[in-house]
Amino acid sequence: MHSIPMLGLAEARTALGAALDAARNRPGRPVAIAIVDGHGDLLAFACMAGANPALARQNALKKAYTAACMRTDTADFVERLRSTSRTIVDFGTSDLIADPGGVVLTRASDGAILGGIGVSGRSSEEDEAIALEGRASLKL
Amino acid sequence: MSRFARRFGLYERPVLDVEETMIALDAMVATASMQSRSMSVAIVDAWGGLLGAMRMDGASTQSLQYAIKKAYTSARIGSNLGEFRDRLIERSGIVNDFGDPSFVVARGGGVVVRAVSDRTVLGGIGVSGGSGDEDQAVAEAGRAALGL
Repeated sequence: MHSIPMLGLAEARTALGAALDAARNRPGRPVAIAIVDGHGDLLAFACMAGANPALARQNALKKAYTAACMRTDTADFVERLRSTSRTIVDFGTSDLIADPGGVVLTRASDGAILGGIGVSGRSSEEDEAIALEGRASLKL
Repeated sequence: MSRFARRFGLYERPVLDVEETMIALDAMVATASMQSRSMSVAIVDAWGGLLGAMRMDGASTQSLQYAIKKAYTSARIGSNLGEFRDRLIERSGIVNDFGDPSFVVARGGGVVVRAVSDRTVLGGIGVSGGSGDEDQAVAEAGRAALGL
C-alpha cells in the first residue's frame, strides 16, 4: 500500500481568500478562481459578479487542472510547448489549456503534487499574478 | 413611455456578489462541520453558472459534482429541489421532460435563492454528502446566511 498527500479545504480556502484579495486590490475585470486537488478535481471555487460568462469560469478550471495534471505552472507549460514545437492538441484532451494563470501546488519537502490554482478573467499576466498570490499564502 | 415599453423594456436585475457567495459557503461548511459531516456545497447564479464551491476533507469527488447540479437545477427551475421532486411525482412527470441533461432530482439539498423585494431568482444552492434532510438543512443555512 502507498499513500499520497491531499490538499485540504483549509488550504484551499486560504488560497481562495488570498487570490480574491489580490483581485480586489488590483484594479481590473472580475475573475473566476478555481482550486483543484492533485487529480485536477475541484476543491474550492469563486467567481466575481460580472466575470466573462463564456470564458472566466471554464478557463479558471482548465488552468488549475492543467497546472495540477501537467505538474507545472501553465506559463511554463506554454513555454515547454513552444520549445518542443508541440501543440495543445497533441495531448488528446480538451481539458488542458495553454495559457498563463494556472499555478501548481507542490509540497516543499518532496515535490509531491498537491493541486493547482487557476485564475481567469483578465489578461494572462494579470491572471497569473493573482494565482501566484494565492500560492504565496500557503506554506506547503 | 408606453405600457408595453414599461413591461418589456430594459430592466435591472440583481445578482450575487462574490462576498455574499463566500459568506454562504463558509456558513454551510461551518454547519456541516458542527454535524461532523463531510459535505460538498455549491452556489450558482440565476443562469446556473457556478459562483462558488467547496469540497470538505473526506467528501467524495462526485459529491461536489452532484452539489453543483443540485444548485443548477434549483436555480433554473426556480424551486427548492424537494418541491420540484414532489411536483414531478404528483404529475407523474420525469426529469427528462425538461430536456436538460444537467437536471437532477433529489429529496433535499437544493434551494432556490430569491431577492426579498420582488422574488427575483438570484441563484441556487446545492449540498451533497449527507442524507436528504442533512443536505437540506445545510443548504437552508447557506440561504439564511445571506439573509434571504
